[in-house]
Amino acid sequence: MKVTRRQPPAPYIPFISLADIAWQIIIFFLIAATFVRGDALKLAVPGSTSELAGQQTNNVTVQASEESLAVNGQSVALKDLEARLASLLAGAKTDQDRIVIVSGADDLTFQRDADILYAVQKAGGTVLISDEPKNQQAPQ
Amino acid sequence: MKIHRKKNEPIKETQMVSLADIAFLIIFFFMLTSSFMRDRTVVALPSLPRSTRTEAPLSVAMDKNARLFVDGQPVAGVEALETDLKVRLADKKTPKELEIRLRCDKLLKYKDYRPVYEAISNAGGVIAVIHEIRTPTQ
Repeated sequence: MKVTRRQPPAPYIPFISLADIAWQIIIFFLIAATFVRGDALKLAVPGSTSELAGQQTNNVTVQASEESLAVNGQSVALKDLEARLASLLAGAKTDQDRIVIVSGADDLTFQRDADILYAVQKAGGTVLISDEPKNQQAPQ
Repeated sequence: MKIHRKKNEPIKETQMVSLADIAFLIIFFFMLTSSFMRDRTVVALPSLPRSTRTEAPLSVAMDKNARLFVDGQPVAGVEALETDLKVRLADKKTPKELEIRLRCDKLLKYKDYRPVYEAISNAGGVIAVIHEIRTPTQ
């Protein structure tokens, strides 16, 4: 009698669990990752006012402290700063004319300073940080 | 009487093998597109309306205690910061290459962070103030 032998099963590697492992890695990446914030206010700070000494003509100056804000010595609210600067810079033709010198008092916080610098840029001005920090308060 | 016999239907099976390929593709995507964050300094950033974006890799951070960090490494002071930045920016030419991410705590006072502006500027860097996006309700 002829005995037929059963064929041995073909070697098989179960790959199903590989998907689970891969998904575990993805979930780990998603949880462990911190997305880097790239939103930035770019300041073209040319240096200090001393670099432009002798060249300055009638540049707009902004004096800021935590409590007060003044443009060319005249008090202004932060919300009106952009409009005020835009009107002052309306006739500016050259980069030199668009310079806005910003000087801060010692108590000025970074948040408020950033708000002011943002308004200057929105108004079309080029920020120039003043050489000497102003300790005196801007006019109320 | 007619007896309906059950047909020997093939077992319905969802092919899951390709799922592993898809998952690995996603992993490769993550690995290729992500850049590892070197600066882990915790800073409460100021909030501003949406402005521009920066891809600058070099980061200067100043925490609420006015401690300075360059790419997460502590720096002794503004003089050391300026020297360090001059070295790092020595071979950079374009404004984009010269950009430096400035991460400063929003409650810091002008007298603390102003020398940092100066140091970055003197080193030839372009300051990119990193901020949160201000929502209309803020």
